[in-house]
Amino acid sequence: MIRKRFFGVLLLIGAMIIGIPAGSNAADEVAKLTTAPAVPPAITRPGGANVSVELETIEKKGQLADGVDYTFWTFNGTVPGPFIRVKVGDNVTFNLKNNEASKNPHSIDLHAVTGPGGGAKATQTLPGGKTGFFFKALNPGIYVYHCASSHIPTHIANGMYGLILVEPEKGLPKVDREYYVMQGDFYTTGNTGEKGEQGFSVEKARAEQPTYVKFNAMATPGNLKANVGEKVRLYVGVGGPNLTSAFHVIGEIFDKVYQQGAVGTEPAKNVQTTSIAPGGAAIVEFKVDVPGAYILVDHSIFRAIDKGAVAILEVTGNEAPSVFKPLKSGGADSGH
Amino acid sequence: MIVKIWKGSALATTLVAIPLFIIVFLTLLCLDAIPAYSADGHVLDSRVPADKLAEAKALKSAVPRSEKTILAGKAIFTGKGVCANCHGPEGKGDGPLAASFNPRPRDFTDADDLGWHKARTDGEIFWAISKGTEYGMIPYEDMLNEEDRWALVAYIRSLEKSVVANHK
Repeated sequence: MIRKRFFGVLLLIGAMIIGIPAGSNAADEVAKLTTAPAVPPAITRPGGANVSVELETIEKKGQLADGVDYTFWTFNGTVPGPFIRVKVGDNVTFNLKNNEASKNPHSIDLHAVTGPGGGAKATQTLPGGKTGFFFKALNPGIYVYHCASSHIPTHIANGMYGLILVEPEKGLPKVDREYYVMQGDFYTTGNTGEKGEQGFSVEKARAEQPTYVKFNAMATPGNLKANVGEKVRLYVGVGGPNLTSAFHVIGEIFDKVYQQGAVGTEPAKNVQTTSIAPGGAAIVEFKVDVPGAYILVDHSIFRAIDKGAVAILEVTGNEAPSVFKPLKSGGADSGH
Repeated sequence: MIVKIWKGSALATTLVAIPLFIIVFLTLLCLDAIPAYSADGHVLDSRVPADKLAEAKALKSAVPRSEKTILAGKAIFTGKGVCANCHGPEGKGDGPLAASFNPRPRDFTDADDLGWHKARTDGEIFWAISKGTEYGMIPYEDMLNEEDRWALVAYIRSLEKSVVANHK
């Protein structure tokens, strides 16, 4: 009898040591998060791992444009929030902290989650508080996440969104470069270009008349880069809150587009411009053949030229005259 | 001819009806029979769903109402509960985020004398704090303990204009 008990205790201790805690999901790994435009590396292990994701909501001053200060509401201090990468079948423990200096409750609704509010109900978090929930990544794809605390449109308009990729079991086809780009529309009290500290105008937001439209509004500055001959993949999301993006790269044609982020379906081929709705995302891929500066725009073009929806992909390498070459200079004697 | 008569009588009726309607409306307004709704036309409606109303009305405070409870509620309201961010530092519904809401956050002082405090029980206010409302109030039942939520009810009650006046 004593021996039986002894073995029982021994088994229990052994189970605790080797980690078989029944009913819990102790994390095997902490998801590596990246700030836009960076993307975490592809996941080489099979799906089904126990992964923990840690995000913190932070209200933080930044610059919306030159000399235009704005208090963004963020995940991890950037707009968009970090790129999260997991694999289909993963068991995800999601932890949300709301920074104690926040003035508002915050939360998260991940579109990759199957469950009430995408996690929003479980993560309503007061400043200084912590919440969490578990979810199983059931569907592969690229998904938007955003704050879902009242007044939800105001939280989103202030920058609370990001992307989560649920890789399919076999991963996505190999490419040379991956980047993360997310568009958002902003509504300042002053007019576009008005300098100084700007507040949020709920009237302009309701009227859907943004003063700024930005890619990666407060993320790592600098151009995207690639070399001639490389395959580039862009994960493109739209946080909104209002505008659907006519996403286009000037001087490139998308070889493949996973429209609406629908991984698992046959991608569309040879696409010039792809529509991405607020709360939606797409994956676009193209090979860069010719060196130069390729401008990413929302082709609702006032937004790009006048309101800021511009980013640059800088391609370096040898000229490819068989693909493109200028024939004449644009001088006065050029015949124009 | 028939059309002409009909038209004539319709015009006469309209001419009489408009001033009559205005007189009746103004009289009712003076008699307080028509509440002077502004932003929130449903201000006197309970925020509790009909099937939960009896349960909510029956809720009784877990903490005795006292000056100490009211002060505790005030500290939560202006501090960790961040209620003031929407409802304003003095509960007038004029916090920094108030403009985002339609209808505006509740004015707990009931400055317009809508009779809101009398129309609602403590239980209904506690319910709205705990479960949230369809107008944008978020549920606090997982964020503040029961004692804190009842302290908020006590503080909100103390903000009613007449209560504040009596205090002076």
